[in-house]
This record gives sequence, C-alpha cells and structure tokens, in this order.
Amino acid sequence: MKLSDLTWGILCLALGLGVFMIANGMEKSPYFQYGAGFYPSIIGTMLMLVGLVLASKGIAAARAGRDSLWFSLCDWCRSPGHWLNLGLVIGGLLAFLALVEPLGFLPTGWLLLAGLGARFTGRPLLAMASAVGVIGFLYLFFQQVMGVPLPQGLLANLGGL
Amino acid sequence: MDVILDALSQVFTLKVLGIMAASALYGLMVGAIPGLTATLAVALMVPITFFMDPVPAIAAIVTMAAMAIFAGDLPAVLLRMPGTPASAAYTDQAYRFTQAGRGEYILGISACTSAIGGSIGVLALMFGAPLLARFALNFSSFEYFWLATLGLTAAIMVGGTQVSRSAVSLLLGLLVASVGIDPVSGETRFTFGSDALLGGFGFIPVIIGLFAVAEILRYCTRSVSERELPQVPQQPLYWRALCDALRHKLGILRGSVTGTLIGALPGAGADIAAYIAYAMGRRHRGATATDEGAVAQIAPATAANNAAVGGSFIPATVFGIPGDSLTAIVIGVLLMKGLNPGPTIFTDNASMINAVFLAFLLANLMLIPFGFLSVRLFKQVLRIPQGLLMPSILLFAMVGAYAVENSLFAVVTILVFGVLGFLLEENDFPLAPMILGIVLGPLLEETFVTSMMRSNGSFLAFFERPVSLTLALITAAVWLAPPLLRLWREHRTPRPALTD
Repeated sequence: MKLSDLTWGILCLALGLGVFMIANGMEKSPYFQYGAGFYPSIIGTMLMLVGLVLASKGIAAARAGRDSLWFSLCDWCRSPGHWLNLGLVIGGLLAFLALVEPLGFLPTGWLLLAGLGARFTGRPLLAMASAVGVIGFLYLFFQQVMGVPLPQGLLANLGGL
Repeated sequence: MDVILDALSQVFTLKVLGIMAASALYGLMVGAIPGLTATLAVALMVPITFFMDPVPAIAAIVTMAAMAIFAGDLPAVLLRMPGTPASAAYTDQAYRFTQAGRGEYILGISACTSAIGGSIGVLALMFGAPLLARFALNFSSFEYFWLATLGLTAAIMVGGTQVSRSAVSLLLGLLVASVGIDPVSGETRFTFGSDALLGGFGFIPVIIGLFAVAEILRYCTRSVSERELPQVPQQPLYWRALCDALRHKLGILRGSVTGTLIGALPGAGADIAAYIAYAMGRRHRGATATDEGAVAQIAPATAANNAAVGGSFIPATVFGIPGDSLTAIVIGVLLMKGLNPGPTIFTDNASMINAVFLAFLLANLMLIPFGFLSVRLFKQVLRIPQGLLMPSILLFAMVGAYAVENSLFAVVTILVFGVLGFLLEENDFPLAPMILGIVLGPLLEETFVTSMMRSNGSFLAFFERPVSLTLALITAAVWLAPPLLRLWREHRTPRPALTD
C-alpha cells in the first residue's frame, strides 16, 4: 500500500507534535541550562515543518491528478498469498520470541526455518532437511565458536548441549 | 633504516604470517555475517592474543579488523544486507550490480580500493601520526558540531533528489538515536518505563532490521517468477575490476584522505567516513545513472572505510586516546604487551611499533588475494534457492542481533525496524539518511547542547573559531551550491526568441 504525501505529511505532523509535547513535558534539571527535552523538541518542530511541506505537496499532487489524496493500492496488495507470506514472517518472528526460551533455540529455530522454507519453496522435505543443516551450523558457530549463550529451553533438562 | 630492517625481520616470519592468514579468514567470516562487526571479531580474539608475542598479537588484530570491514561488503553487495555498519552507505547502489550479474566486479573494485585506502591510512599513521593527532586534539565541541552537521548534510545528499523525504528519514534517525539516556544531563527519555530502552536502541539490531528483515519482507511481496530474478549468474570480472579501480585514482585518494582524517577524530569512525566519502562522490557527473558513475561513487567510500581504521590508530598510538571501540581494545592489548601508547612509543619501542605498522600495511595488501578468494566462496550463497536462503538469513540476522546485545529485545528491535524499513521503502523514502541520523545523532546532540552551554546560548560562538568557521562555510556551500549553480546555468542558457 502506498500512502500519499498528504497522509505522510499528517503522520509526520502528528509524530512531531507528540515528540514536541512529550519533550516539553520533561522535567528540567536545575543543574543544567538545557534539559533532556531541549534537543528532542527541536526534532519534533522540524518533523512538523517537514510534515507541512509533504502535506502541501500531497494536496497539490492530488489537485493536479498526479497522486491519490490518501493512499493507493499496489499490485501485491490485492493478492492474499502475499499477505500470508508477510504474516508468516512477522508471525514467525513473534512466535520465535515467545517460544525460544521455553523450547530452546534448536527446536524453535528449526520450526521457523522449516515452516518458512516449506511455504516459500513448496517442498517441505527439502525445507526440513536444509533447516537441520542451517540450525546445526548456527549452533556450532555462535554457541561453540563465538561463545554466545543461546537459550537451551527443553534441552537444558537433557543435560544441555 | 636499522629500525625498519629490524621491524621487517619481526613481521616476515612463518609464525607471524601464519597467524595473519588465520586471522584474515576469521575476520572475513565474522565480517560477512550481518550484524557482527570488526569490533566484535577483535573483542572475541583478545583472550587468544594474550598468549601471543606482541607483534603477532597486534598483527592478528589489525588483520582481523581490515578483513572484517571489507567482508561487510560481501552480503551488502550480493544480498543487499550490510555485514558491518560501514557498508550500509553504498549497499543499495552496489546491489544493483549484483542484479545485473556484476556483483563480483563491484566486490573486486571494493577489495582493491579497500587495500589502497587501508594502505594510505597506514602510511599516514606511520609518517603523519604526530601532526594529525595534534590537529584532531584541537577540535572542540563547536568543530564536532559542524562536522556532525556536515555529515547530516551528506545524509540528505545521499538520499537523492527528494529532499523532503530524505529529511523525514533523517529526522526519524535522529529521533531513534535520542531514545534512552540524555548524553548531557543523564536523564531518561522516551523509554516509557521500559528498562530495555534505557540504553536506547542497539545500532546493530536497528540496521539488521532496516536492511535484512525489510529485504525479506520485500521478498514476501514478490510474485513467484520475480523471486528467482536476483539469482543472476555472476561474471568473473576480477581483472577488469583491478584495472577499473586504478582508473578512479583521484576518487580513491580523496576517499582515503577523508577516511584517514575522519578516522583520526575521536568519536568518528569507518561508518561516518564511508557516508561522507560516498556523498562527496555523488557530485560525480551521472553518479546514479551510469555504472561508471556508480563506481566513481562507491570506490571512494570503500577506500574511506578502510582508511579510517588506520586513521583511528593515530590518536590511539600517539596519545593513547581511542577513537572508537576497536582502538580502545587495541590500546588494551598494547598495554597488556608492555607497549605504552604515547609520544615516547616511537623512541622507546621503535622497532616493535614499526613492526606493528608494517604488519598493518601487509594486512591491507592481503585484502586483494583474500578478498578475491572470499568473493569466490561467498557468491556460492547466490546458488541456494531464495526460498531456502531467505529464512536462513532471517535466522542468521536474529541470532547475530541476539549475539551482539545478548538480549531477546534485540530480536524485537529487528522486527520493529524491519517493518518500519519495509514501509519506508515501499513509499520511496531512502533509508541511508536514517542510518546516518542514528550514527551521528548522539554526537550532534552532545556537541550542540555542550556548545550552547559553553556559549551561554549565543549562536555566534559557533562561528568564532577558525576551524569551526571553515566547517560551517563548507556545510553552507554544500547546501547552497546546487541551487546557485542551477540559477547560474538557467541564467546562462539563451532563451528562445519571442515571435509574433
């Protein structure tokens, strides 16, 4: 989905205003001439200014018929398959976050790799087999060579790997 | 002369050369993984260097750093995922070569220019260290403020023609950088009660999200036929790359000098050097339109990021002041080996410090054969079906981010910034200004607020010192030159005569 300049302008205005208000509400230390909110309030003001510029460009473009007023749909937006792909990647990341500590890195990582690989290639067996190789390499490199403590989860009860 | 001969005899031994070769392979491997930096590669190697003699220990570290910085270009060029922050500046433009089957060519250029830039940085370190270090130490907050402003100006230039879109991207980067603890007063802001945000967003997870995760999300939106398009066979174009790299000697020299000078400034580093050199190269005619123009822009940037490593050693060896985290580790190793950084290091340990410099020079020259070898190996990644490669990269990126921050919050960060990067690029917002905003944000804020406090709120103080005035004028010139030149050209173009 492509948002118009007017929509982006309004979003920037809102964000700038929010930043400005939060920054102005920050307490000022008596020991410093400028508090923690001084610099962000400048960023907020500049965001509002750029938002105004974008919004005025968007209105001009819509009036001239060069752009839609609020948004336009791109080609892939009409395909449910593409939305499913996006949902699987984002959902996969969220599931990884939720499961990696209770289950451990090896099973969670394998599930993510095998699931996404099967969806993208349409060949589940190949995806599952390659996931074993990739997860094994990642485990050896990060845990054994680099010394990164990857979550053990269920495997910790089996004596840890 | 005796000192140099002595230094040569210390470097050209089977043991030192073997250690350098092993360190080169390790540096290439770590640098090629998105998220893992040269600093991380060096930090992990420090315990091993403890058991080595001083020359092989430092030789191992400088070899790793040089190789890791170059290796950041491998995933940047071939997969559009910068391995190190220094490669982020030219990732998009370099990736276009891979899409045209010329990824090896641009990586060959990168290996050559990195070797040249790195060597120039080391030569500057060997011969101009005291002078450059003295110059860098004269910089106050005013000069740093203008340097940061010049860098942000470069960010807008890097962003392309749409100034308002580049400005939005830059301001978002500055906003992201302001999350956490205020560098001047030490108060927290925009943390919304979260302990994970106290230290701000980790830079590495942010760039992994903006580039790697956003690229995977973009892959999800391609049709089945489009998905296999990036698997273009790469032509072996090393020799042409070698010859072409030498055709851009002036640009490489400019990038190397820029990189050395910026690297010598404490707080600045290879990533800032690459962005500024890349923006300077944009002035080249047709920089974005033609391959020749693109090479003219990328070559100085790749030279600059390796030259900056040599530059950062200048204040480190002469005054013991680390320019960045990498040199801070190097100082620690120097001290551990009984080499006390400072002006006397050149007299008390002349042959040993020269041996270190020679090893550094050799490490940069090794970039060409080792670089070419790594390109040959890494390009095999492109043969893997994209449907298997993309999930693997996603997991690599997640574990890389987790390894750097040692926290699952890093995975949350890459998800948030991945979605943000995807949305911004879908709507034609350039990502480069945002990255530079995040890099330069803390420096800009600290120097701006400190300068305002020092001058009691007077803006005139920003123009009173000669160097700060010069930097201010250069910044103003970069902003004003293009519109003024356009006006001048329009004025010179004869208007068509009016007819009845």
